[in-house]
Amino acid sequence: MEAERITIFTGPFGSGKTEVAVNYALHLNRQGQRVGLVDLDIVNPYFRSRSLARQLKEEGIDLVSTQPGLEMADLPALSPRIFSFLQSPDRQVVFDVGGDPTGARVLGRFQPYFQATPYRLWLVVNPYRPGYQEPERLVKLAREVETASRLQINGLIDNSNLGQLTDRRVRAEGAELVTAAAERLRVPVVFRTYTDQALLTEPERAGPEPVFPLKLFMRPPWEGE
Amino acid sequence: MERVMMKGNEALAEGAIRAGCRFFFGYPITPQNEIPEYMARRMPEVGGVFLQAESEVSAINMVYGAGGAGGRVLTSSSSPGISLKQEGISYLVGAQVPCVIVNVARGGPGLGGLTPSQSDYFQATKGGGHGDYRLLVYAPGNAQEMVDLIGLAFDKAEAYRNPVMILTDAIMGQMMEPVVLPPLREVSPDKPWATTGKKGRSKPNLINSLGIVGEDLERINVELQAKFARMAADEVRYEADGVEDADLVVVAYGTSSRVVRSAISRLRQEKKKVGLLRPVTLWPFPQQILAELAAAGKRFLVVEMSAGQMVEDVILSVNDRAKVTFFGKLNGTVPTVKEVYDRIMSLLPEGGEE
Repeated sequence: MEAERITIFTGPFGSGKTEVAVNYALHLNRQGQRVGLVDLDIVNPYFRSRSLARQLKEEGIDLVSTQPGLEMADLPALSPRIFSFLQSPDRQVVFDVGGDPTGARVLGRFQPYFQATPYRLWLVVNPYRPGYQEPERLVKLAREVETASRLQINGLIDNSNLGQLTDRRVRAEGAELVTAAAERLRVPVVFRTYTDQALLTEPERAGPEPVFPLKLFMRPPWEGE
Repeated sequence: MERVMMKGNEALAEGAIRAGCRFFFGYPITPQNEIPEYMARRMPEVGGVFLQAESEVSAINMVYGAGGAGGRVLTSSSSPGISLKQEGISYLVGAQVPCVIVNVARGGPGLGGLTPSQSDYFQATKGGGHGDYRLLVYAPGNAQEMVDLIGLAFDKAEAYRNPVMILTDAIMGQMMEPVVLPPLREVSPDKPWATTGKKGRSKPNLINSLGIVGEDLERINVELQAKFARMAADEVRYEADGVEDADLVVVAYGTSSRVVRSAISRLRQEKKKVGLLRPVTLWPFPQQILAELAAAGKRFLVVEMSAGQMVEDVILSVNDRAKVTFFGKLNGTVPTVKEVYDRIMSLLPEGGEE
């Protein structure tokens, strides 16, 4: 996965895009890149990357989101630091963009930068979310996100999972749906996520099918210390 | 696909639809907004009505209208919004109108914050509105129970002709878990008491809570109390996990019970005898089992995200037969597994190991 300088993760509400964006930022960081992670999730104040700020800072990732102290204010405000990230040519910028066409609309604000700098807009998909079991629905959503953001989606991220009930069959059946949607959209499936190596298929293990490991950060309090 | 990943709020909304709910009236407030958002999209697909009212007061009175006409009707809100609905809830009970009310509680008092909280327990179980009344109150412990209990709530609301409340909190509403959805049910609004026209009967049906003559009002209240007594006798639900041979029984519901469960599983690995008693109905409260455990010599720890509300019902239930300790976190924070673990450890008798 050679990185363009700007990577935007979006996806329907609850698709897991924040987990994917955070893990991807850490992945770039481990490759020695300077990474800025931008939390543009204006839809929902719970379980989003702002709460991870301290942890990410320790890893050396700059997180930009709402002003400190206003994390739970349910009133999104965009920081001027986003522009400083976009204007630094040596920096990788990862965007976590909220929800749906409404959430994607905020991207229009940065349109001049996306025109000047190569970007990737990846749609994170979990077909086990209600309403997204049909490839047609994913295609429709992709088009709506493109209209709202004025950008082009150039890949799908297959995040098929049923939480702790995820098994090989769950991943395989999800992969079929995501592949069908990707074919309809004429974009590649960039990678399929996994949290447990034991669930990978043979082609995924051997290499031809790209996969991406996820370490989950947004856990409920009962799964914490 | 048989299973889907759903947020707790979405699970409540879809669970209601599957149970035949075809009317939703509400007003937005975080952290329950996924419910009206979901309903706005979903209700038209099943031929139902979604209406965003101009206020919570208005929404609860629309519930009165739809419920009085026999429809399965839902409203949802969060703490300050539920306070606004109290007058309407009292009227719904008085007029014996079935409906389901969801409270995805947040921190209070006042405007409070968006953080999860269990400080609306008194309001839900002791009656936040005026008059002698009770609501059947369910407290789901996971996303699957959101689906199952809201389905049950609609059935019970109709069976007793009484409002039923689902009391949950911001974390339970926002967390995502796999759920299995039941088939879609269609439930006819045609009820013998519903105000849907006389249809040849000599007397019209009346939905009203007025008892202007003293004796009439007494008769209405006697009838209501008899109904609440039946609910208290027949509707208690709880989960008891390892309470029989426990040295200490922890009582907790909702988010707190999830944290307690994690602490208990650590303690059991260390061979400590700790049980969990999780009320699923907050009213009627599982008094009987608590009284029996107290009589068997158990000690109790109550964990809540409040200054101590359900603990009063635990104390009433054990009635001086056992020691009850309380551990609460005030609105804004959630108890950690470590905090609960430490608190339990401090209460276990020396040599509590097997």
